[in-house]
Amino acid sequence: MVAISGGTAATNARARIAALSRSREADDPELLDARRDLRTAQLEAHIRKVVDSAPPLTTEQRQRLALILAGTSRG
Amino acid sequence: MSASSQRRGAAIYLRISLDQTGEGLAIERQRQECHRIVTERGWRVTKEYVDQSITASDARKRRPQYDALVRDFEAGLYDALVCYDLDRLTRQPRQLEDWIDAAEGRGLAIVTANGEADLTTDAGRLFARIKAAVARAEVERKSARQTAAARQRAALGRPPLGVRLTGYLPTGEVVKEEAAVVRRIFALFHGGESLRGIVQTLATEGISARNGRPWNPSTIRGILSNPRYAGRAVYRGAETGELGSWEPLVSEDVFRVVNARLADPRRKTVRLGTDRKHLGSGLYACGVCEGPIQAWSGERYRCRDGCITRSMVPIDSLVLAVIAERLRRPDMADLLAAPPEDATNAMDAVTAAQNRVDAIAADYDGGLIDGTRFAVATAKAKAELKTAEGRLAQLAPNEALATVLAAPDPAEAFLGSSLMAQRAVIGTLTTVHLDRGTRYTRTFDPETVRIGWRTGASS
Repeated sequence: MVAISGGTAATNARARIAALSRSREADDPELLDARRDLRTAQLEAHIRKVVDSAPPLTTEQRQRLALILAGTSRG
Repeated sequence: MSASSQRRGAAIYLRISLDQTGEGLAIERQRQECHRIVTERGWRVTKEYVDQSITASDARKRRPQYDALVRDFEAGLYDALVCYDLDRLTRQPRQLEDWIDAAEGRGLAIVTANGEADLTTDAGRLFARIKAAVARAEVERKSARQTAAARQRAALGRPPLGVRLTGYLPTGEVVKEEAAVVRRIFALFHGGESLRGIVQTLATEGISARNGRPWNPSTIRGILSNPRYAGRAVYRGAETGELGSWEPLVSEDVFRVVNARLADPRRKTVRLGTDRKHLGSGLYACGVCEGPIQAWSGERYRCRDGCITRSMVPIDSLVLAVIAERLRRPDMADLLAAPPEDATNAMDAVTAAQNRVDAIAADYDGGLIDGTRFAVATAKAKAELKTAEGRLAQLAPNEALATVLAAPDPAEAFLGSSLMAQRAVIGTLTTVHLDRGTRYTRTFDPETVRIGWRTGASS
Protein backbone atom coordinates (compact mmCIF):
# COMPACT_ATOMS: atom_id res chain seq x y z
CA MET A 1 0.00 0.00 0.00
CA VAL A 2 1.41 3.33 -1.11
CA ALA A 3 1.49 5.99 1.56
CA ILE A 4 -1.34 8.42 1.20
CA SER A 5 -0.28 11.92 0.20
CA GLY A 6 -2.24 15.07 -0.56
CA GLY A 7 -5.22 15.22 -2.91
CA THR A 8 -3.17 16.53 -5.83
CA ALA A 9 -1.86 13.11 -6.86
CA ALA A 10 -4.98 12.37 -8.90
CA THR A 11 -4.93 15.82 -10.51
CA ASN A 12 -1.27 15.39 -11.48
CA ALA A 13 -1.91 11.95 -12.92
CA ARG A 14 -4.87 13.25 -14.90
CA ALA A 15 -2.77 16.11 -16.34
CA ARG A 16 0.00 13.71 -17.31
CA ILE A 17 -2.46 11.48 -19.15
CA ALA A 18 -3.84 14.48 -20.98
CA ALA A 19 -0.38 15.58 -22.04
CA LEU A 20 0.76 12.12 -23.12
CA SER A 21 -2.43 11.20 -24.97
CA ARG A 22 -1.88 14.06 -27.40
CA SER A 23 1.26 12.52 -28.88
CA ARG A 24 1.27 8.82 -27.84
CA GLU A 25 -0.54 5.74 -29.08
CA ALA A 26 -3.20 4.27 -26.82
CA ASP A 27 -0.97 1.33 -25.84
CA ASP A 28 2.13 3.41 -25.15
CA PRO A 29 3.81 2.06 -21.96
CA GLU A 30 4.25 5.50 -20.42
CA LEU A 31 0.62 6.37 -21.07
CA LEU A 32 -0.47 3.05 -19.56
CA ASP A 33 1.69 3.82 -16.50
CA ALA A 34 0.07 7.22 -16.16
CA ARG A 35 -3.40 5.65 -16.30
CA ARG A 36 -2.37 3.16 -13.61
CA ASP A 37 -1.08 6.03 -11.45
CA LEU A 38 -4.41 7.79 -11.82
CA ARG A 39 -6.31 4.69 -10.70
CA THR A 40 -4.01 4.33 -7.70
CA ALA A 41 -4.41 7.99 -6.78
CA GLN A 42 -8.19 7.72 -7.07
CA LEU A 43 -8.21 4.62 -4.90
CA GLU A 44 -6.06 6.31 -2.31
CA ALA A 45 -8.36 9.32 -2.27
CA HIS A 46 -11.31 6.99 -1.83
CA ILE A 47 -9.64 5.16 1.07
CA ARG A 48 -8.79 8.47 2.71
CA LYS A 49 -12.39 9.63 2.34
CA VAL A 50 -13.74 6.40 3.88
CA VAL A 51 -11.31 6.55 6.80
CA ASP A 52 -12.00 10.27 7.36
CA SER A 53 -15.60 9.34 8.09
CA ALA A 54 -14.58 6.88 10.83
CA PRO A 55 -15.77 7.79 14.32
CA PRO A 56 -13.39 7.67 17.29
CA LEU A 57 -12.92 4.21 18.76
CA THR A 58 -14.87 3.14 21.79
CA THR A 59 -12.82 1.92 24.75
CA GLU A 60 -14.01 -1.59 24.11
CA GLN A 61 -13.03 -1.53 20.43
CA ARG A 62 -9.66 -0.14 21.35
CA GLN A 63 -8.98 -2.85 23.90
CA ARG A 64 -10.15 -5.52 21.55
CA LEU A 65 -7.86 -4.29 18.77
CA ALA A 66 -4.93 -4.04 21.17
CA LEU A 67 -5.50 -7.60 22.29
CA ILE A 68 -5.80 -8.99 18.76
CA LEU A 69 -2.86 -7.04 17.39
CA ALA A 70 -0.64 -7.41 20.44
CA GLY A 71 -1.28 -11.14 20.19
CA THR A 72 -0.31 -11.23 16.55
CA SER A 73 2.68 -8.92 16.74
CA ARG A 74 4.36 -10.85 19.54
CA GLY A 75 3.65 -7.88 21.81
CA MET B 1 23.44 -78.31 57.19
CA SER B 2 26.12 -75.78 57.80
CA ALA B 3 26.51 -73.00 55.34
CA SER B 4 30.25 -72.79 55.77
CA SER B 5 31.13 -76.51 55.82
CA GLN B 6 32.13 -76.52 52.18
CA ARG B 7 33.53 -73.92 49.84
CA ARG B 8 30.40 -72.32 48.54
CA GLY B 9 30.11 -70.25 45.42
CA ALA B 10 28.60 -66.94 46.52
CA ALA B 11 26.77 -64.41 44.40
CA ILE B 12 26.88 -60.82 45.65
CA TYR B 13 23.84 -58.64 44.95
CA LEU B 14 24.11 -54.87 45.37
CA ARG B 15 21.27 -52.42 44.79
CA ILE B 16 20.66 -48.78 45.49
CA SER B 17 17.31 -47.10 44.71
CA LEU B 18 18.52 -43.63 43.98
CA ASP B 19 21.96 -42.78 42.74
CA GLN B 20 22.18 -39.14 43.64
CA THR B 21 25.42 -37.47 44.68
CA GLY B 22 27.39 -39.72 46.99
CA GLU B 23 25.26 -42.80 46.39
CA GLY B 24 28.13 -44.39 44.50
CA LEU B 25 29.85 -44.44 47.88
CA ALA B 26 26.86 -46.28 49.33
CA ILE B 27 27.26 -49.01 46.71
CA GLU B 28 30.94 -49.22 47.56
CA ARG B 29 30.15 -49.63 51.28
CA GLN B 30 27.68 -52.41 50.51
CA ARG B 31 30.30 -54.09 48.36
CA GLN B 32 32.99 -54.02 51.04
CA GLU B 33 30.63 -55.49 53.67
CA CYS B 34 29.53 -58.29 51.35
CA HIS B 35 33.10 -59.19 50.39
CA ARG B 36 34.07 -59.20 54.05
CA ILE B 37 31.36 -61.81 54.76
CA VAL B 38 32.43 -63.97 51.81
CA THR B 39 36.04 -63.87 53.01
CA GLU B 40 35.12 -64.61 56.64
CA ARG B 41 33.17 -67.67 55.62
CA GLY B 42 35.82 -68.93 53.29
CA TRP B 43 33.54 -68.80 50.28
CA ARG B 44 34.45 -67.67 46.83
CA VAL B 45 32.67 -64.95 44.85
CA THR B 46 31.12 -66.28 41.64
CA LYS B 47 29.81 -62.98 40.38
CA GLU B 48 28.73 -59.53 41.51
CA TYR B 49 25.31 -58.24 40.45
CA VAL B 50 24.69 -54.48 40.70
CA ASP B 51 21.42 -52.62 40.07
CA GLN B 52 21.88 -48.93 40.46
CA SER B 53 19.08 -46.37 40.83
CA ILE B 54 16.41 -49.04 40.57
CA THR B 55 13.65 -49.51 43.12
CA ALA B 56 12.68 -52.89 44.50
CA SER B 57 9.30 -51.76 45.76
CA ASP B 58 7.66 -51.87 42.38
CA ALA B 59 7.34 -55.47 41.18
CA ARG B 60 6.81 -54.26 37.62
CA LYS B 61 10.13 -52.46 37.53
CA ARG B 62 12.73 -54.42 35.66
CA ARG B 63 15.98 -54.97 37.46
CA PRO B 64 18.32 -56.46 34.84
CA GLN B 65 20.96 -57.66 37.26
CA TYR B 66 18.34 -59.07 39.65
CA ASP B 67 16.89 -61.01 36.71
CA ALA B 68 20.38 -62.28 35.88
CA LEU B 69 20.78 -63.28 39.53
CA VAL B 70 17.60 -65.36 39.38
CA ARG B 71 18.59 -66.92 36.07
CA ASP B 72 22.05 -67.82 37.32
CA PHE B 73 20.58 -69.39 40.46
CA GLU B 74 18.28 -71.52 38.32
CA ALA B 75 21.31 -72.50 36.27
CA GLY B 76 23.02 -73.57 39.48
CA LEU B 77 25.89 -71.11 39.21
CA TYR B 78 26.00 -70.37 42.96
CA ASP B 79 24.74 -71.80 46.24
CA ALA B 80 25.16 -68.80 48.50
CA LEU B 81 23.78 -65.31 48.13
CA VAL B 82 25.23 -62.32 49.95
CA CYS B 83 23.57 -58.95 50.11
CA TYR B 84 23.76 -55.97 52.41
CA ASP B 85 20.25 -56.34 53.72
CA LEU B 86 17.22 -58.41 52.73
CA ASP B 87 15.42 -55.30 51.53
CA ARG B 88 18.26 -54.78 49.03
CA LEU B 89 17.31 -58.12 47.53
CA THR B 90 13.56 -57.56 47.44
CA ARG B 91 10.77 -55.58 49.02
CA GLN B 92 8.16 -57.84 47.48
CA PRO B 93 6.82 -60.56 49.84
CA ARG B 94 6.09 -62.74 46.83
CA GLN B 95 9.65 -62.55 45.58
CA LEU B 96 10.85 -63.28 49.09
CA GLU B 97 8.74 -66.47 49.14
CA ASP B 98 10.53 -67.54 45.95
CA TRP B 99 13.87 -67.13 47.71
CA ILE B 100 12.55 -69.06 50.75
CA ASP B 101 11.48 -71.87 48.42
CA ALA B 102 14.94 -71.81 46.88
CA ALA B 103 16.60 -71.94 50.29
CA GLU B 104 14.42 -74.85 51.38
CA GLY B 105 14.59 -76.81 48.18
CA ARG B 106 18.21 -76.42 47.23
CA GLY B 107 19.88 -75.27 50.39
CA LEU B 108 20.69 -71.79 49.25
CA ALA B 109 22.46 -69.91 52.02
CA ILE B 110 21.33 -66.32 52.07
CA VAL B 111 23.52 -64.10 54.19
CA THR B 112 23.11 -60.44 54.86
CA ALA B 113 25.67 -58.02 56.21
CA ASN B 114 23.25 -57.10 59.01
CA GLY B 115 23.17 -60.65 60.38
CA GLU B 116 22.63 -63.99 58.76
CA ALA B 117 19.13 -64.75 57.59
CA ASP B 118 19.30 -68.51 57.40
CA LEU B 119 16.30 -69.25 55.29
CA THR B 120 16.63 -72.99 55.78
CA THR B 121 15.37 -72.68 59.38
CA ASP B 122 11.91 -71.71 60.67
CA ALA B 123 13.34 -68.88 62.73
CA GLY B 124 15.27 -67.53 59.73
CA ARG B 125 12.21 -67.67 57.51
CA LEU B 126 10.09 -65.93 60.15
CA PHE B 127 12.76 -63.26 60.49
CA ALA B 128 12.89 -62.79 56.71
CA ARG B 129 9.12 -62.59 56.39
CA ILE B 130 8.86 -60.04 59.18
CA LYS B 131 11.58 -58.02 57.48
CA ALA B 132 9.73 -58.18 54.16
CA ALA B 133 6.42 -57.19 55.77
CA VAL B 134 8.08 -54.27 57.52
CA ALA B 135 9.74 -53.22 54.28
CA ARG B 136 6.41 -53.50 52.44
CA ALA B 137 4.67 -51.42 55.10
CA GLU B 138 7.42 -48.86 54.82
CA VAL B 139 6.77 -48.58 51.08
CA GLU B 140 3.07 -48.11 51.71
CA ARG B 141 3.72 -45.54 54.40
CA LYS B 142 6.04 -43.73 52.02
CA SER B 143 3.33 -43.65 49.38
CA ALA B 144 0.80 -42.35 51.92
CA ARG B 145 3.33 -39.76 53.06
CA GLN B 146 3.83 -38.62 49.47
CA THR B 147 0.08 -38.39 48.86
CA ALA B 148 -0.35 -36.38 52.05
CA ALA B 149 2.56 -34.16 51.09
CA ALA B 150 1.06 -33.56 47.64
CA ARG B 151 -2.29 -32.67 49.18
CA GLN B 152 -0.57 -30.39 51.63
CA ARG B 153 1.44 -28.76 48.83
CA ALA B 154 -1.80 -28.06 46.98
CA ALA B 155 -3.46 -26.72 50.14
CA LEU B 156 -0.49 -24.43 50.76
CA GLY B 157 -0.70 -23.26 47.17
CA ARG B 158 2.69 -24.65 46.22
CA PRO B 159 3.23 -25.99 42.71
CA PRO B 160 2.63 -29.73 42.39
CA LEU B 161 5.58 -32.06 41.94
CA GLY B 162 5.98 -34.08 38.78
CA VAL B 163 6.19 -32.94 35.19
CA ARG B 164 6.57 -29.17 35.22
CA LEU B 165 4.06 -26.90 33.57
CA THR B 166 5.20 -25.01 30.46
CA GLY B 167 6.09 -21.51 31.60
CA TYR B 168 7.19 -22.50 35.11
CA LEU B 169 10.08 -24.22 36.82
CA PRO B 170 9.12 -27.14 39.09
CA THR B 171 9.57 -24.74 42.00
CA GLY B 172 7.02 -22.35 40.53
CA GLU B 173 9.32 -19.64 39.19
CA VAL B 174 8.38 -18.24 35.79
CA VAL B 175 10.43 -19.32 32.76
CA LYS B 176 10.39 -16.02 30.89
CA GLU B 177 10.50 -17.23 27.28
CA GLU B 178 7.97 -20.00 27.79
CA ALA B 179 5.72 -17.65 29.73
CA ALA B 180 5.74 -15.23 26.79
CA VAL B 181 4.54 -18.05 24.50
CA VAL B 182 1.81 -19.05 26.97
CA ARG B 183 0.62 -15.43 27.31
CA ARG B 184 0.65 -15.15 23.56
CA ILE B 185 -1.49 -18.27 23.16
CA PHE B 186 -4.03 -16.79 25.57
CA ALA B 187 -3.92 -13.41 23.82
CA LEU B 188 -4.40 -14.98 20.39
CA PHE B 189 -7.36 -17.07 21.50
CA HIS B 190 -8.84 -14.19 23.49
CA GLY B 191 -8.47 -12.07 20.37
CA GLY B 192 -10.59 -14.47 18.36
CA GLU B 193 -8.02 -16.83 16.90
CA SER B 194 -8.95 -20.49 16.62
CA LEU B 195 -6.94 -23.34 18.09
CA ARG B 196 -5.74 -24.36 14.65
CA GLY B 197 -5.02 -20.73 13.77
CA ILE B 198 -2.80 -20.46 16.85
CA VAL B 199 -0.95 -23.62 15.81
CA GLN B 200 -0.36 -22.13 12.38
CA THR B 201 0.75 -18.78 13.75
CA LEU B 202 3.25 -20.42 16.09
CA ALA B 203 4.50 -22.71 13.32
CA THR B 204 4.99 -19.78 10.95
CA GLU B 205 7.14 -18.07 13.53
CA GLY B 206 9.13 -21.21 14.20
CA ILE B 207 7.98 -21.47 17.82
CA SER B 208 7.86 -25.09 18.82
CA ALA B 209 6.54 -26.77 21.94
CA ARG B 210 8.86 -27.69 24.81
CA ASN B 211 9.63 -31.09 23.33
CA GLY B 212 10.83 -29.41 20.14
CA ARG B 213 7.83 -30.60 18.14
CA PRO B 214 5.23 -28.32 16.55
CA TRP B 215 2.27 -27.29 18.70
CA ASN B 216 -1.02 -29.03 18.08
CA PRO B 217 -4.57 -27.92 18.86
CA SER B 218 -4.96 -30.29 21.80
CA THR B 219 -1.84 -29.03 23.60
CA ILE B 220 -3.00 -25.45 22.96
CA ARG B 221 -6.38 -26.37 24.43
CA GLY B 222 -4.60 -28.00 27.38
CA ILE B 223 -2.77 -24.75 28.09
CA LEU B 224 -5.86 -22.58 27.68
CA SER B 225 -7.85 -24.76 30.07
CA ASN B 226 -5.21 -25.15 32.78
CA PRO B 227 -6.37 -23.11 35.82
CA ARG B 228 -2.80 -22.96 37.12
CA TYR B 229 -2.07 -20.25 34.53
CA ALA B 230 -4.63 -18.05 36.29
CA GLY B 231 -2.87 -18.78 39.58
CA ARG B 232 -5.41 -21.30 40.85
CA ALA B 233 -4.19 -24.33 42.80
CA VAL B 234 -5.03 -27.74 41.39
CA TYR B 235 -4.93 -31.13 43.10
CA ARG B 236 -5.45 -34.33 41.10
CA GLY B 237 -6.83 -32.39 38.17
CA ALA B 238 -9.44 -30.55 40.22
CA GLU B 239 -9.24 -27.03 41.55
CA THR B 240 -8.87 -26.77 45.29
CA GLY B 241 -10.51 -23.36 45.42
CA GLU B 242 -7.27 -21.88 46.72
CA LEU B 243 -4.84 -19.60 44.96
CA GLY B 244 -1.34 -20.87 44.24
CA SER B 245 1.80 -19.12 45.41
CA TRP B 246 3.13 -18.81 41.86
CA GLU B 247 2.76 -15.81 39.60
CA PRO B 248 -0.28 -16.14 37.29
CA LEU B 249 0.48 -15.73 33.58
CA VAL B 250 -3.02 -14.50 32.73
CA SER B 251 -5.61 -12.58 34.65
CA GLU B 252 -8.55 -14.34 36.25
CA ASP B 253 -10.96 -12.56 33.90
CA VAL B 254 -9.11 -13.50 30.72
CA PHE B 255 -8.96 -17.10 31.88
CA ARG B 256 -12.68 -17.14 32.63
CA VAL B 257 -13.61 -15.64 29.27
CA VAL B 258 -11.26 -17.96 27.37
CA ASN B 259 -12.68 -21.01 29.10
CA ALA B 260 -16.26 -19.91 28.63
CA ARG B 261 -15.49 -19.73 24.94
CA LEU B 262 -13.70 -23.07 24.93
CA ALA B 263 -16.60 -24.78 26.67
CA ASP B 264 -19.51 -23.17 24.92
CA PRO B 265 -20.18 -24.27 21.34
CA ARG B 266 -22.34 -21.18 20.81
CA ARG B 267 -19.26 -19.03 21.28
CA LYS B 268 -17.82 -20.48 18.10
CA THR B 269 -19.48 -17.74 16.11
CA VAL B 270 -19.33 -17.42 12.38
CA ARG B 271 -16.97 -14.50 12.51
CA LEU B 272 -14.57 -15.80 15.10
CA GLY B 273 -13.22 -19.10 16.13
CA THR B 274 -13.74 -21.07 12.96
CA ASP B 275 -10.96 -21.36 10.50
CA ARG B 276 -11.65 -19.61 7.24
CA LYS B 277 -9.82 -19.64 3.98
CA HIS B 278 -11.07 -16.28 2.71
CA LEU B 279 -11.03 -12.87 4.30
CA GLY B 280 -14.64 -11.99 3.63
CA SER B 281 -16.63 -15.20 3.71
CA GLY B 282 -19.27 -14.99 6.42
CA LEU B 283 -17.93 -11.54 7.35
CA TYR B 284 -19.04 -9.33 4.46
CA ALA B 285 -22.74 -8.94 3.70
CA CYS B 286 -24.65 -8.71 0.44
CA GLY B 287 -25.58 -5.10 -0.38
CA VAL B 288 -28.84 -6.29 -1.92
CA CYS B 289 -30.28 -8.89 0.48
CA GLU B 290 -28.05 -8.39 3.55
CA GLY B 291 -27.28 -12.10 3.50
CA PRO B 292 -23.77 -13.34 4.33
CA ILE B 293 -21.22 -13.49 1.57
CA GLN B 294 -19.57 -16.78 0.77
CA ALA B 295 -16.57 -17.77 -1.26
CA TRP B 296 -17.58 -19.13 -4.61
CA SER B 297 -15.67 -20.90 -7.30
CA GLY B 298 -12.29 -20.09 -5.83
CA GLU B 299 -11.74 -16.42 -6.53
CA ARG B 300 -15.14 -14.87 -6.18
CA TYR B 301 -17.55 -13.79 -3.49
CA ARG B 302 -21.20 -14.48 -3.90
CA CYS B 303 -24.21 -14.06 -1.63
CA ARG B 304 -26.19 -17.14 -0.74
CA ASP B 305 -29.08 -16.14 -2.95
CA GLY B 306 -26.81 -15.16 -5.79
CA CYS B 307 -27.79 -11.45 -5.84
CA ILE B 308 -24.19 -10.51 -6.47
CA THR B 309 -21.00 -12.16 -7.67
CA ARG B 310 -17.78 -10.23 -7.22
CA SER B 311 -14.10 -10.82 -7.78
CA MET B 312 -12.32 -11.39 -4.45
CA VAL B 313 -8.90 -9.84 -4.85
CA PRO B 314 -9.72 -6.13 -5.38
CA ILE B 315 -12.37 -6.19 -2.63
CA ASP B 316 -10.06 -7.78 -0.06
CA SER B 317 -7.23 -5.44 -1.04
CA LEU B 318 -9.48 -2.42 -0.57
CA VAL B 319 -10.78 -3.57 2.81
CA LEU B 320 -7.27 -4.34 4.07
CA ALA B 321 -6.03 -0.95 2.81
CA VAL B 322 -8.89 0.91 4.51
CA ILE B 323 -8.32 -0.84 7.83
CA ALA B 324 -4.54 -0.33 7.60
CA GLU B 325 -5.09 3.36 6.86
CA ARG B 326 -7.43 3.63 9.84
CA LEU B 327 -4.78 2.01 12.04
CA ARG B 328 -2.18 4.49 10.77
CA ARG B 329 -4.18 7.47 12.03
CA PRO B 330 -2.65 9.35 14.96
CA ASP B 331 -5.25 8.16 17.48
CA MET B 332 -3.94 4.62 16.98
CA ALA B 333 -0.28 5.45 17.50
CA ASP B 334 -0.23 4.17 21.06
CA LEU B 335 -2.51 1.21 20.41
CA LEU B 336 0.28 -1.30 20.78
CA ALA B 337 2.33 0.58 23.34
CA ALA B 338 2.96 -1.94 26.05
CA PRO B 339 0.76 -0.84 28.90
CA PRO B 340 1.96 -1.28 32.46
CA GLU B 341 0.89 -4.49 34.17
CA ASP B 342 -1.98 -2.97 36.18
CA ALA B 343 -3.31 -1.25 33.07
CA THR B 344 -3.31 -4.62 31.29
CA ASN B 345 -5.26 -6.13 34.15
CA ALA B 346 -7.70 -3.23 34.12
CA MET B 347 -8.19 -3.63 30.38
CA ASP B 348 -8.69 -7.35 30.76
CA ALA B 349 -11.30 -6.63 33.41
CA VAL B 350 -13.16 -4.27 31.08
CA THR B 351 -13.07 -6.78 28.23
CA ALA B 352 -14.23 -9.58 30.52
CA ALA B 353 -17.11 -7.51 31.87
CA GLN B 354 -18.12 -6.52 28.35
CA ASN B 355 -17.98 -10.15 27.27
CA ARG B 356 -20.21 -11.09 30.21
CA VAL B 357 -22.75 -8.49 29.14
CA ASP B 358 -22.65 -9.94 25.61
CA ALA B 359 -22.89 -13.51 26.91
CA ILE B 360 -25.95 -12.70 29.01
CA ALA B 361 -27.59 -11.10 25.99
CA ALA B 362 -26.78 -14.22 23.94
CA ASP B 363 -28.26 -16.44 26.65
CA TYR B 364 -31.42 -14.34 26.64
CA ASP B 365 -31.62 -14.41 22.84
CA GLY B 366 -31.14 -18.16 22.90
CA GLY B 367 -33.99 -18.60 25.40
CA LEU B 368 -31.64 -19.95 28.07
CA ILE B 369 -32.66 -17.34 30.67
CA ASP B 370 -35.90 -15.51 31.28
CA GLY B 371 -36.47 -11.77 31.31
CA THR B 372 -36.14 -11.33 35.07
CA ARG B 373 -32.83 -13.16 35.28
CA PHE B 374 -31.63 -11.30 32.19
CA ALA B 375 -32.39 -7.96 33.82
CA VAL B 376 -30.69 -8.92 37.10
CA ALA B 377 -27.63 -10.44 35.40
CA THR B 378 -27.26 -7.55 32.97
CA ALA B 379 -27.49 -4.97 35.75
CA LYS B 380 -24.80 -6.80 37.70
CA ALA B 381 -22.50 -7.21 34.70
CA LYS B 382 -22.96 -3.59 33.68
CA ALA B 383 -22.11 -2.45 37.18
CA GLU B 384 -18.93 -4.54 36.98
CA LEU B 385 -18.19 -3.01 33.58
CA LYS B 386 -18.61 0.48 34.99
CA THR B 387 -16.29 -0.28 37.90
CA ALA B 388 -13.71 -1.79 35.57
CA GLU B 389 -13.88 1.18 33.22
CA GLY B 390 -13.54 3.52 36.17
CA ARG B 391 -10.42 1.68 37.28
CA LEU B 392 -9.00 1.91 33.78
CA ALA B 393 -9.80 5.61 33.55
CA GLN B 394 -7.85 6.30 36.73
CA LEU B 395 -4.79 4.58 35.33
CA ALA B 396 -2.20 5.54 32.82
CA PRO B 397 -3.02 9.11 31.88
CA ASN B 398 0.57 9.70 30.80
CA GLU B 399 2.18 6.34 31.10
CA ALA B 400 1.23 5.21 27.61
CA LEU B 401 2.81 8.28 26.03
CA ALA B 402 6.26 7.27 27.18
CA THR B 403 6.10 4.06 25.22
CA VAL B 404 4.43 5.37 22.08
CA LEU B 405 7.67 5.96 20.22
CA ALA B 406 8.86 2.42 20.79
CA ALA B 407 5.47 0.87 20.04
CA PRO B 408 5.05 -1.40 17.03
CA ASP B 409 3.03 -0.01 14.13
CA PRO B 410 -0.57 -1.29 14.44
CA ALA B 411 -1.09 -1.11 10.67
CA GLU B 412 1.97 -3.29 10.06
CA ALA B 413 0.86 -5.65 12.81
CA PHE B 414 -2.54 -5.89 11.14
CA LEU B 415 -1.19 -6.52 7.64
CA GLY B 416 1.24 -9.11 8.97
CA SER B 417 -1.26 -10.96 11.13
CA SER B 418 -3.15 -14.16 10.42
CA LEU B 419 -6.31 -14.27 8.35
CA MET B 420 -8.40 -14.97 11.46
CA ALA B 421 -6.91 -12.02 13.33
CA GLN B 422 -7.47 -9.77 10.31
CA ARG B 423 -11.08 -10.89 10.20
CA ALA B 424 -11.43 -10.15 13.90
CA VAL B 425 -10.05 -6.63 13.42
CA ILE B 426 -12.28 -5.95 10.41
CA GLY B 427 -15.30 -7.23 12.36
CA THR B 428 -14.42 -5.05 15.33
CA LEU B 429 -14.14 -1.87 13.29
CA THR B 430 -16.46 -2.18 10.35
CA THR B 431 -19.36 -3.67 8.50
CA VAL B 432 -18.68 -4.43 4.84
CA HIS B 433 -21.44 -4.61 2.24
CA LEU B 434 -20.79 -5.63 -1.32
CA ASP B 435 -22.97 -3.97 -3.95
CA ARG B 436 -23.39 -5.13 -7.52
CA GLY B 437 -20.39 -4.42 -9.69
CA THR B 438 -20.58 -2.22 -12.76
CA ARG B 439 -21.54 -4.32 -15.71
CA TYR B 440 -19.43 -4.62 -18.84
CA THR B 441 -16.35 -3.11 -17.28
CA ARG B 442 -13.24 -4.68 -15.83
CA THR B 443 -12.39 -1.60 -13.83
CA PHE B 444 -12.97 -2.04 -10.11
CA ASP B 445 -15.21 0.61 -8.61
CA PRO B 446 -14.35 1.06 -4.90
CA GLU B 447 -17.74 2.70 -4.31
CA THR B 448 -19.35 -0.73 -4.72
CA VAL B 449 -17.73 -1.87 -1.47
CA ARG B 450 -19.61 -0.07 1.29
CA ILE B 451 -17.52 0.08 4.42
CA GLY B 452 -19.47 1.22 7.47
CA TRP B 453 -17.82 2.02 10.78
CA ARG B 454 -19.03 0.34 13.91
CA THR B 455 -19.59 2.64 16.81
CA GLY B 456 -20.30 0.08 19.50
CA ALA B 457 -19.34 -3.40 20.55
CA SER B 458 -18.81 -5.85 17.74
CA SER B 459 -20.30 -9.29 17.83
